[in-house]
Parts: sequence; structure tokens; C-alpha cells
Amino acid sequence: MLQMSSVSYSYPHAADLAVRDITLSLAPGEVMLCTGRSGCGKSTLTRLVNGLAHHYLGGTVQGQVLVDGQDPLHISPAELARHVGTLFQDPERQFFALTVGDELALSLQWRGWSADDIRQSVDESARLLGIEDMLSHTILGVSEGQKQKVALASLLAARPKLLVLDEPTANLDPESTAELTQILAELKKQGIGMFIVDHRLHWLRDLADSVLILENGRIMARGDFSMLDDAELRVKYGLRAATVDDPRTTLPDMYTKQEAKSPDRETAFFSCHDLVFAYPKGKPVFSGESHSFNPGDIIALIGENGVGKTTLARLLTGLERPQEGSVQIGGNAVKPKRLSRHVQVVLQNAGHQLRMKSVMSELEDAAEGVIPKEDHATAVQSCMKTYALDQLAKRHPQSLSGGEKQRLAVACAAIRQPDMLILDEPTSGLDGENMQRMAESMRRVAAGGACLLVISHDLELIQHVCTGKIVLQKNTGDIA
Amino acid sequence: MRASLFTNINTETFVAGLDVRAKLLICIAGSVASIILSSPLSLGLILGLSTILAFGAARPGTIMKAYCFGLLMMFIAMGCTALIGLAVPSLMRWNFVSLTVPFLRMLVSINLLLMLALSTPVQELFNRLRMARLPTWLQIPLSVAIRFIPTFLEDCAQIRDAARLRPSRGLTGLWRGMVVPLLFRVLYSADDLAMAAELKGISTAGQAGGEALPGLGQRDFVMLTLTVVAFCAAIALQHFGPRFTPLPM
Repeated sequence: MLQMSSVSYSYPHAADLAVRDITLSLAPGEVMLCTGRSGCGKSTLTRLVNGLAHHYLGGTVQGQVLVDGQDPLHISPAELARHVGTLFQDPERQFFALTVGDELALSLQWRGWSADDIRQSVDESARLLGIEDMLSHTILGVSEGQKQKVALASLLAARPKLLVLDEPTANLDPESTAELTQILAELKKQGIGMFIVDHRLHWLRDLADSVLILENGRIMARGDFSMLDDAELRVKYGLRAATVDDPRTTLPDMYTKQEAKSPDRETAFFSCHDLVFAYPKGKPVFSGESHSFNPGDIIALIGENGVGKTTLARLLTGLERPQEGSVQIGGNAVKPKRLSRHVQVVLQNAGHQLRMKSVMSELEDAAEGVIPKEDHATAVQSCMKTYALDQLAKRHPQSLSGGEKQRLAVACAAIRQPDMLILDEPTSGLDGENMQRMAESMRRVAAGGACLLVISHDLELIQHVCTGKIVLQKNTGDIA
Repeated sequence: MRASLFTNINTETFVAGLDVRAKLLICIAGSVASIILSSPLSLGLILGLSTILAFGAARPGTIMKAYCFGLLMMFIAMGCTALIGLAVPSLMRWNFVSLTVPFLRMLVSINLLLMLALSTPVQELFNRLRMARLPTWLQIPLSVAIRFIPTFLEDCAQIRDAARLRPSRGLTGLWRGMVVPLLFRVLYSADDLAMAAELKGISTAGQAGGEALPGLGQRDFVMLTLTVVAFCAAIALQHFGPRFTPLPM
């Protein structure tokens, strides 16, 4: 199905090889997991398999790659896509249509299939993924798990024999991840080979037949999944845990609604009281939401998609104004427009928050208005050291890796000395080492006297760092 | 995430029932008319008809807001003109026609744009472009541009929120806070999209199959005929109608 013999590749204008001397073989119905630190060459391998490395990115390929008997060097990625389907980390970025049915049909139309064949293939793949009732739905309104299914169905509609999956669970909640695992197991039974690149390992325990660990573009270890149970090996290659218990059941609940209203909690460090909120012409999201937080708390905000996690975060930051209720600091109500002085947010896409020419100037800009001008240099230097950014001081923030951007965004938030820091999926796409660093950064901010609210599906991060949880329930928004 | 530029499109209205191609042709005709016509009377006729179409989309609140914006723009333009006139009196001669015509043109454009936007789900525009078998070099960029409008707006909203939480100072700060992250986001998106397009077989898109484009309906032909009649009437009015002598102001 897939064979690589002594394959090396270098990107255009790059001095070093991105991957070197890779030899591997994948049989029909086999699932191979490829993991390693960020930048180790995993994504390059996927681009060698789907033909993008040579045809789209340029660069030099040595050795031989064969996909279903075809040499990607000699046929275009479009031709090769009939044999191998590629699923991106964020499926939305690979959608071209606006409805589910159109998205499934689009690539077949581009390939010149007849209308009857398209209809038949779309129906079959939609049935396989259980999305046949969603064909007329708008693609942007479905949940992350459903988006992943739509992307997978659109690949399967072209009937490939090999799938390349690049961090397919990075944006999925644990339930959607379990559902995806079942679907992939079914495809495996049907003889479809899979080459999966991922940092999150635990979900692949019963699925992956073989595992490759890459470091600096080389295969450093290979074996079956049990190899990843070796803790030393995982630390050595910066990998995540191979087994994760669901901490959502074991983490202590934060204060209940009644406790949040009790006299001692009324004057809590940071609290919200009886929040009532509905979007214009929408159903009420919250009807009397109350929470309180203490300095040093690191709270996981948990709940299904659409339950109001982001809305609660927006209310706490003052980006939305509640119809009733208040956000209080030390027992005093704070107006929404003044909350940004007390609350900071780290977005899932930290790049949205970075705007200066260098890491150092980003931190200087963040310190503006909070730290006296004469203390800027000292504060910035200290912050760079604390968050291990001193080596990157002169780098453009947008040129940093995902993990470095996240760390810089946390440092920018921390230098503003917030009372509350909200993090939205802070470890999406991070390897084990960077996840640990992020966890350390979060603990550091909490130790500095802030409370942290973490919106995340990453069970490993929640297990590592959170001290409590708030579970939002669908429709009511009440605390569990 | 938004699925259309304007939510709550009223699909029951007459305008919403028109085929998107008919609406596009009406927009093109109206735009051409507002460019070539210079008589206030002819432009007034086009304005009247375009206003009926805009209000036919049944969103009077949005239309009135757009008119207020148009008025504001007109007053700003008048203010600037007055300032220039104060400095160089010989350069500026105020009269009724020169003040009215640009304003009428702007209102016609606003009406037509709102008529299209308030009555057309993005998906419908997208489908028609796809089915129209336009040349690949035109169809794909147009489709992608339309497809990514909601995503782009979502990105803009997130970046605006980030900027609100770490306020910028002055115009430079605004530039940095909004434009720099957006620019990088667009570049990354373009790269992802190009790779996705390649893997979906875009290079074979010239032979695209799929659904056939349905014909225009009766009401589309009626509206297009009325558009042609109105267009001709406006031109006739310009050439044979009463002439306006510029009134000094």
C-alpha cells in the first residue's frame, strides 16, 4: 500500500534535510502511527506520501516512495489523491463548499465524475460516516466532531485505499474522539491503510498496529503501541502520555450555585453572580449563572459543544454584557468595559493576539499601561527568562512555532498581572514537551496570584494542571 | 460561525424568490446606469426602482442604517468641499446638480448591494457560480472568496476581541492590532487552502461534471425585462427630458 525506501527530502532553500533515510512499509488495513516532537519531520512525511512535497512545495526527494504502486514523483497530487486521501488537523480549512453534500461532491465534480456516480458515491460515504441526514446542513454550523466526519466522508467518496491523517483529534472532545476511533476501526476492517501523525497517543492504543518515533527527521524507534508505555522513551522524545484517565470524573467540582451565593463567597477574589444572558433573537444561554474563584485556582471549564463555555468566558472578560447579574472582584461589581484590565485571554489561535515585530517588543507592548515605563525593561527581561523566551527575543512572533506562540501569549497575559486568565484550548497541536511547558507556565501564573479558567478537550492537560472543574450543562447552563 | 453574510434572510419575499443570476444582472445594469447617467431625473428614476427592490428584501432597519451612513458620507464630502472652497474659492462652484448626482449614484449602489445581500444566502450565490460552468480561473477564485467570507469575518471578530483585551494606542496601534494578525492569518489560510485544493483535484477542474444549471424562471424574465425598460427609459429621460440648469447655492 505504502512503501518508502531510503527516502530523504529537503525543502527549497533549506540547508538541512527535513527527513532522512526513511524506510517503511504499510500493508492494506494496517494503521501506522508516526509521532515525535514538533518539527521532527512528521508533516513532511505526510507531504511525501500525498505528493505535495515534490509538486507543491518543491525541494529535493531522494529514494523511492510508492503509494498503491504509484510513484508520487511522477503523477500529480490530484491524480495521487485517487489513491490516498489526506485529512488535515483543522478540517474547516480544507472545505470549499458551504453545505455538507456539496463538500462531499466537490472533489468528484472537479475530477469529472458523472452526476449519477457522484450521487451514489456521496450517499455511500455519508452512510458510512452516519451523516446522511446532514447533507443539506451548512458546513460551518456543524460541531467539530461532525466537521471531521464530513472531511473524512469527502475523502472516502473518492474511494482511496490509503488515508493520511494529520492530528485528526486535535480539535475533538473525548466523545468525538471515541466516535472517530470507531469509524477508523471500521475503515481498517475494510482494508483501508492509514498513516496517522499525532501528538495525542492514548486514543490510538487499540487502533495502531505499528508506531514510528521521529527525531530530527530520522526514525529513532519503531515497534508496536506497547513501546509507548515506556515512560523514559516518552520523556526522551518529548511524547505525550500513552494512557490518560478521564480526569473529568475525578476532579473536584467547584462551588455550587448555592455556595457561590453564600456570604463568604460573595466577597470572593473573582466571581460572577446570577448572570443572565441570551444572544439577540436566541434562546437564553444562562439564566442565573454564579461562580467564584480563588487566587491559584486552575479550573477546567467542561461541557459539550454549544453549551456556553465560550459565552461564559466572553462574559467574564467583558466582551459580552450580561442582561442581568454582575462580575465582581473582591466583592465589588466591575463594569464590563473595565474588565479587560483584570482579565486576560489566550486564544486557541495565539497568532491572533501577536502583532509586534519581535518577541521582546510584544512583551513591551503588553506591559504598556500596566507597568511603569521605567520598569519595563526589567519586567520584560524577567518575563522572557521565566517563560524561556530569551533565546527568541528578536524573532518575529508570527515566525514562532505553535507552542512558542502559545507560550508568548501566556507571557504577554502574565505581564499584565491579571486577576483572571482564560485559556481556550491552549495545548491543541502541542507535543508532550510543549504541553508540559504550557502546564508549567499556567502553574506559574496561578502561583503569581491569578485564577485560571481553562477551556480544553485535552484530558492530559486537565489531568496535569487543573485543580477543579466547572461542568456546564446543556440548555440550562447550570453547574453540575 | 456564520453561514451567510446576513442571517434571518426572509425567503418569502418576491426579491428572495428571484434567481441569483437575475439579481446579479439587475445589479450590473443598475451600476452601469449610475455610471453613465448624469441627469438627476434619470438617476431619480433608477433610485426609485432600486429603492423598491431594496425594501422588497424586507429589512427596513438595515436599509435605514445604510442610508444614514450614506447621508453621513455626503455631509463629510460637503464639509470637505466647503473647506476647499474657502481656501480656493475659484476652484469650487457649488450647484444643485453637482451635489445631487454623486449622492444619487451612491444611493443607487447602496440599494442594489442591499437588495442582493439581504435576499441571497451565500450558499445560493456559491451554487450558481459553480453550476454556471464559468472558466476555472474565474470560478474557483470567486467560489473560494465567497466560501471564505464567513471564515474571514470570524477571524476578524476574534482579532478584534483580542485587540479589545489589549488595547492599542493610535492609528499605528490599530494597524498593528488588527491588520498584522489578519494578514498572517490570511497568508496561512491561503497556504492551507492551496494545498487542500491541490489534493482535491483542482488541477483537473476543467473537466468538471455535476449538476446542470437550472433555467431562469418566469418572474426572473419579467424582472429582467422591466430592468431593460427602466434602463432605456432613464437614458431617454436624460436625452429628451427637461434639462437642469445648475442652481447656484
